[in-house]
Amino acid sequence: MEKDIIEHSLNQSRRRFLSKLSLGLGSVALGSLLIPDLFSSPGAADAMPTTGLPHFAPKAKRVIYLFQSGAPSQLESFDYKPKLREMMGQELPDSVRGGQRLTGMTASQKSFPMVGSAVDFKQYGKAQAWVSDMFPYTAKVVDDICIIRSMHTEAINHDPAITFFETGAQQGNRPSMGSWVSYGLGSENKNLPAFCVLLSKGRGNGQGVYSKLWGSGFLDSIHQGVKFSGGGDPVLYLNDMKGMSRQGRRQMLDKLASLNQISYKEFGDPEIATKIQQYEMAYRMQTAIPEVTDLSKEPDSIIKMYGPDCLVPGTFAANALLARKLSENGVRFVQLYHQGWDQHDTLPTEMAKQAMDVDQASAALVTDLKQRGMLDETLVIWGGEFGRTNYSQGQFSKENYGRDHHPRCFSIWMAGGGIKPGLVYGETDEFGYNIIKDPVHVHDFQATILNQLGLDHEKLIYKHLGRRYRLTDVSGSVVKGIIA
Amino acid sequence: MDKVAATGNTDKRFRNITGNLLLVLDVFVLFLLVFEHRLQIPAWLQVAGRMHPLVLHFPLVLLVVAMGLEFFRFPSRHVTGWFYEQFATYLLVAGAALAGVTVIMGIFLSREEGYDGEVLDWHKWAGVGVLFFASLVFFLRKYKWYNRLLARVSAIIVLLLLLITGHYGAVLTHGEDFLLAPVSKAVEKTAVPLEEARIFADVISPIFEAKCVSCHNPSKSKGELLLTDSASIMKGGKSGKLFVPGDPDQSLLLRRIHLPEGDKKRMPPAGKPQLTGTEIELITRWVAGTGRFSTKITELPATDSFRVLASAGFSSTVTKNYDFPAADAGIISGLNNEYRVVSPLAAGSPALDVLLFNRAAWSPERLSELSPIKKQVVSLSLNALPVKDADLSGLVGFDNLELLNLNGTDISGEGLKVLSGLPALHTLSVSGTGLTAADLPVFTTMKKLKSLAIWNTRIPQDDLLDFRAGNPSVTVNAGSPDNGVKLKLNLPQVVNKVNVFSGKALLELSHPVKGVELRYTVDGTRPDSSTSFVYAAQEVIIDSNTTFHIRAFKEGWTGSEEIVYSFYEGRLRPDSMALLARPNEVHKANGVYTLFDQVLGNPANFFSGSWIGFSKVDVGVLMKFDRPVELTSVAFNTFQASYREFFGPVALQVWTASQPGDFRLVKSVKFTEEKNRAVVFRKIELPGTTARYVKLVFTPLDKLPGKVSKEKVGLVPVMLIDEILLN
Repeated sequence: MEKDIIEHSLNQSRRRFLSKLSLGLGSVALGSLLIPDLFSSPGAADAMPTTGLPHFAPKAKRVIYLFQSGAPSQLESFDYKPKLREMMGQELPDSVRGGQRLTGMTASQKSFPMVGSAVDFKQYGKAQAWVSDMFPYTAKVVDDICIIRSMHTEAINHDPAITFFETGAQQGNRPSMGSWVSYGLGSENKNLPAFCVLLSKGRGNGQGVYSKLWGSGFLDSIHQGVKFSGGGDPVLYLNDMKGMSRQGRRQMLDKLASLNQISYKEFGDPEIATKIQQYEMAYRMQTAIPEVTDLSKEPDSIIKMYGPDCLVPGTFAANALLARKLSENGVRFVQLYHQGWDQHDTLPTEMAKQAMDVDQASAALVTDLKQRGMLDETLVIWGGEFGRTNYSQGQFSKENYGRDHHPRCFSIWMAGGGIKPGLVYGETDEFGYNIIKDPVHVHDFQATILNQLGLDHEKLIYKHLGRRYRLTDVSGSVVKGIIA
Repeated sequence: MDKVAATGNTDKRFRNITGNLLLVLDVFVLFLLVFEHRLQIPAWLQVAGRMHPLVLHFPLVLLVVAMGLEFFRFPSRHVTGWFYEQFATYLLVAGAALAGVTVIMGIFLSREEGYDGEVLDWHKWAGVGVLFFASLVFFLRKYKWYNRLLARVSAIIVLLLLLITGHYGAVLTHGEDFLLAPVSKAVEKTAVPLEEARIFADVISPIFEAKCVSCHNPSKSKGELLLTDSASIMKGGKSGKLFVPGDPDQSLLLRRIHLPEGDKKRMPPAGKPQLTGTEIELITRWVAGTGRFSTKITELPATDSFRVLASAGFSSTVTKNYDFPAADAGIISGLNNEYRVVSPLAAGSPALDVLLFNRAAWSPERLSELSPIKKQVVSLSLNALPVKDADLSGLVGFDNLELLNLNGTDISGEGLKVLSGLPALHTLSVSGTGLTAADLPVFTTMKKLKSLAIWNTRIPQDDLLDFRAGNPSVTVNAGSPDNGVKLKLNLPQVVNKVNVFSGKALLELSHPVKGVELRYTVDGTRPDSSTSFVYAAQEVIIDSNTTFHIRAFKEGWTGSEEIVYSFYEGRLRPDSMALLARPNEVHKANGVYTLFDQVLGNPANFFSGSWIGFSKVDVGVLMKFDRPVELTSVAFNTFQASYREFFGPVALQVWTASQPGDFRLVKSVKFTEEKNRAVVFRKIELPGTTARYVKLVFTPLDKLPGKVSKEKVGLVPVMLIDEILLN
């Protein structure tokens, strides 16, 4: 940050210097021939784009992202491959694998026996979408969701893959998608953070999620995700301490703000301004959060819809319900992480438990938003960071096997927010290994999310260390085929 | 002098010959113009005609230079100079003669099909004007009275005529907007959102505009076909009607665009921008359909292939065009506060989106203050605010309001009448309100209503279904009815923080779902909903080691799974304690304190930190009491799981002392493995012993029992213990 401050003043004088240099019509003309945008508007090349408003009318105002951390298997959920059952135990042809790199966990494995799903699939809805028996509730809402079976990514291990999904780069330190959205659209409700994060953990083999996934990177830290606690108090330390009156708190904050102002004037550090704003936000959250997190007014039918676990703080169901309430109150980006989908072994039993924890509440969220007339303006996303292999990792039998990481294809679903409902998009080959139709890269996926929010992913940029950064880095195109 | 005279003679002859030639050309042009409509151009002359665009550049350049010289000829020293007098004459006559040739070719070309209209007329007559004026200058400039003024005026007129001719000629070849197109992008047609797009105007017409109209427009209607308006399209051209709606097989239009690339009659012709596959498909489907013009795309059925194709072409990024003026930015920012957000729908849009938050901050003024922007608000959310029926009168005059969210408000129906007066309202949400069946008719008075979310109200499901059936134009989200599927309740929760009690303890249970009945047994059987004990707060007192099996029940739900929770009596707590051996790295837990924290090791998770683990060494646990105590028994829990190499201790020695260093062995026991149990509770009765110091020594299994499989070679057994209970 210190560096930023120094750079800022340097930038100022450099610009002045340049503008003096470029006197004279000839140089202007030459300049504009060589670099067409050079003189289009003064300082345009250096200025950040105006933010806080959509670039065009948005379809979705908010996002709820139900991230399934650990990577749920597409072959036991939405990508039905009967061929794998027929060829159970046979070696995966090299021509199909095509030199795909392996993880350290299966690199030394000598054989790659294909293994079909232990769980049956059925077709549902008008779209006749195949959904496995592990997801009976999701199956009931297939007409409201769009299943994408042709996602692919570049990373093969959890941390880079999930970082890639959330920030557009595998290495970390970039702003998270929610931060970009907060930066691009601003907050809808000034009493709540624009970007909230809710964590839960299933009973399956899990992988950690780290706060870098909801960090704001080089963006102003006001855009950073606020992680809610999984306990009874979603936001800790929100209550005034005993003896502190509301008015006293106000006076204390005013005094603190004036002190912060003084040091802001002295050092010009934008983080100080952010700090002042965050104190104010926290003050307003003191009244807003209890209202939002109060589940006592939810009718019995809602409890039944999400499942009774929605009343147990810290569960996926509770987070899904809380996500709806936050979204209803204008939180732009609610990011859920549900851990425990990393089934390298005992996949059938473990994944069934995982699915049981999330299936009902995920489907309920879609239905709930729909019955409130909110699904049109809320984009719901369900999916993990990559797929799982069509061959077994380690020993296998028909009922018990494991699957390793597979970046070449996996399935996710999206609902609402101007995404075509009742659509199954993309296709993989009969082995479920490669995509044969309509591939969707992670950057395409991100571009589409931004597009639905009224943001052009090529225009949502932030200049940092001499480079203009985007969520989609230097690629990505909006997936028009899934837009209603 | 001779030389000059000689030049003068040659010059005179040349002037005569060329002058006559020019006259002949002029007359011929005049003749052609008079009989233009009777001309039949033979094929070879058509070739000549088509050379018009090639030849025209010669007279153009010659005349420009000649007229330039003419303009500056008149300072007296120039008038008779060879350069201005003679050379200019050569240029002029050559230019004029070539202009004549060009005009003749042009007239031939214009007789070919497709050249017609005002632009051609301008081009033709201006071109003819160039010829005649240039000829006139040539004939007049030799007279004495031809002075500077005449020369200059003539030069200007000829140059102007050249300019006009050239411009209209270019318009004929390149199309109307060609010249200014690069700088006039700003007035580009505003893109239309899909909802407003019409079949012809926004899909078909743009294709024609881009690929066909440059040859089929009023100025250049090749084949006597105009593709600029619907009437002309239906009329067709020289070869007949383009199509009969719904009969693609007979369509001339489709035949022409589907002809192979080399075919002479293929449209667009070779060398011109070609139709893309999608464009051909769109035109084909348009003709195959009913060939409608003004129908909106969204009025077609969702599965209609024209609609599907056409929709893809519409950028999803187009903002709906609103024709009302934007509100004052100062007013907008003045209305924004912590509990009310007013923001444009998108950058540059006049339409506003308004959200109000926070129950405590609500008052009807929050709404009435929006009055200055009521024409601009298109979307308003009052979600979960205590809005009363009367407050809705504040919405009168919100003429452009399209989306209104009243979910969870306190309205009961009466106020909805105001909404009938909102002419643009198409999406309304009233879920979670007190509406009754009597309020349903008011929704039918909302003319534009397309979507209604009306779940969780007092309206019976049957009435909603009737309403939905009676109003097919409205999408009614009536929620998902309780279809009678019984869900299983989730687990009861034990509030007690510790399992170990001294004397008495109270069982404290809770359940997240309201109104459940918790039932328990203490005999190890599974509780049922009729015979097991019913839990009541503050009434279940524990005074001996007890294992509870607890389940939850509720009407309309299936009973929960059972939870098992044990309480153990641990009357004595040492005042200080120490561990005499080092625990394993992964099972360090919280050191010796783990053994006395009154919480039993978690049976579900042996890595949770609630167990402490050792390998190979004898483990001594030393306890010290401030006062001598009467010790009657020692108990502990151990965790067994042979697949993870977890085994209980094989032996335990109990030592006591009243002074440090005075330890006596009071009991030594050997344990045999209890098969098929994870957590094993071991209790050792002691003969009444009084002591201030107690030492327990656990002996773990030294090596894996039985035949050790290959992958377990080298592993050692781990002894997990937790919670030492002293009584």
